[in-house]
Amino acid sequence: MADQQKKSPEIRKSKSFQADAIRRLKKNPMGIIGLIIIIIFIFLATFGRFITPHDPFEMNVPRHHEEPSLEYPLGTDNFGRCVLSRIIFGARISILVGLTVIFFRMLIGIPVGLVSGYYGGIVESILMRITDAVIAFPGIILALAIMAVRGQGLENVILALSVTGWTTYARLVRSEVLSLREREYVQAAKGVGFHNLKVMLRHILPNCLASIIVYSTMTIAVVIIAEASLSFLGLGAAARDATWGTQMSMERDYLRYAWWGVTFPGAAIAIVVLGFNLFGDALRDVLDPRLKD
Amino acid sequence: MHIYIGKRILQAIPVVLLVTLITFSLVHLMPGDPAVIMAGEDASRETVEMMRRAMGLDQPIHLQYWDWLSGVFTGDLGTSLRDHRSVLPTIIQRLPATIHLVIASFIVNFVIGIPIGIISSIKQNTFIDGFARIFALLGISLPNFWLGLMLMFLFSHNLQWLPASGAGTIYHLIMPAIALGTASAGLITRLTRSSMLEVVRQDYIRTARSKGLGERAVIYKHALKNAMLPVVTIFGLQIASGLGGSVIVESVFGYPGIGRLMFNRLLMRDFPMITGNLLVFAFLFILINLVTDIFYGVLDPRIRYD
Repeated sequence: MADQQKKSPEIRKSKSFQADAIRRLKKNPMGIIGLIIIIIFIFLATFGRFITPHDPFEMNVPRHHEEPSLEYPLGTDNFGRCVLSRIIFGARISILVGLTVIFFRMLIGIPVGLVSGYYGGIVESILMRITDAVIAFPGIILALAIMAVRGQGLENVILALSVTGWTTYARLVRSEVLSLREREYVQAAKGVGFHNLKVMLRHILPNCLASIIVYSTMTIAVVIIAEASLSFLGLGAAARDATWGTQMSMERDYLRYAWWGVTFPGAAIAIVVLGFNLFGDALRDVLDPRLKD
Repeated sequence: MHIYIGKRILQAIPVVLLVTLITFSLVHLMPGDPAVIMAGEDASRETVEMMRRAMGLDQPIHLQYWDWLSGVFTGDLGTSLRDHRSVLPTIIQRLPATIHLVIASFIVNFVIGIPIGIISSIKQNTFIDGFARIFALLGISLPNFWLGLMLMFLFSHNLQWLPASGAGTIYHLIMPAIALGTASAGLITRLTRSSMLEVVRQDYIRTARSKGLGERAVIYKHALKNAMLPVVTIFGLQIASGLGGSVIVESVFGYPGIGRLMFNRLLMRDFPMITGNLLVFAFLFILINLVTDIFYGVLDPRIRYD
């Protein structure tokens, strides 16, 4: 793979690689199920507003906590709002938070990992000790503390989950760089006199992409759960944002008589998370050359 | 070996200092004035000013940090703004409940995770393996607070087998431990399985088989010992995620541990208690990780020469 890449970095690699990847993905039924779940999820997130059976915010208090029926397939909540419509609406925010948080985590974690792995020495020591210090706090607790500083709201949820979770990217990328930086093509690029930045971005980073992609797919699932946890505890998204977590938070006190208010949003989270995990698993099988048949 | 342990401890020192710095800065950024909270919302300005001086809040920020830090290393984490009790004794009083919960969830993890992982790897690509893999993935995918609520609905509200909240007996621990441990159990199942599959391909397993050892001895004496190494390394991480999860699960079940203490005080803006809790969580993690690293070095001599 190393030699191929030196000759023609994009064309030859991607073509055969894609065909190979698709072939192996097809052999993995669980991965396909995961992919279908993700596609449905993204579809609902994009077009959900147009297909909800009811207005997700329309209150109808006299009809609160109605059991699932034909009119309200998943029942109504404490304010008589349609649970199904609110779940469909909530998909948008889940994916939004998931993707944004992943993006920001990469934005912090990848440079930290690249630089510390590439330069080593004192730079590495400093960056890795900072990483260790951030890891020392259980993520959700640090996120809760940050939410207490900043207050409820989606932007703050994104901030809190971004600044706590970048550490795994840093460690992942660093360990990849450590094994890559001694490779011939990296040495060659350095020898030719390329700028360090160019060597890192053009010759090292592309070879870390497989692990980054696999890890990110799994992490979207983790972020969706983390967002729901914060919102469920009341220190996440505001009630008007109607995320799955806030829906559950508002309904948890009525679990005893109206189980559907908590059960279905939670099931939605579980299904979507399962989808990302299934697909992530399949992706790892596809992208990890050690498991190639 | 001594060099290895010494190196690990030296590495932990800057991390401990950084942790105190992060905690201190974070809590200082929180909105709300500790002097006002301490003096009471309707206190006069003079009283608040007096309180501010008494609490050392009129000092420059680096001196405040220094004062606080020297307190931390002598075990003085300050006084709660709300109930005026010392922070550290309050936390220590609540700590056993959380430790019980984390240990119970660990039992759930390992008692479920490791055997299923082993069986799944021995029966690779069979129906049993498929079932185990789905079980593991499902475990990872269920949000712990939702699982907790579902258990509560089923076993407390409907069947009335288990108490929905509180602590004290082993029955109070069952549901929170399952809610907290299921995700880790899934993780450990997967890790055990993949690690076993990796190990059984090694030469020494072939050697063990070719010298005529029975399959049972090969798996349990030779493969399992080596396959458990990666499982041991995530020990520390699992405890940390258990501590983190305790905030959520303890709040679902009204369980009186440090997770719920932390969360309640966060809502009350009880700054010294928040800093104290954050520090205890982080120090526990650093300590557990240090112990795991050393333990790992003992188990696997190759690591020491890294």
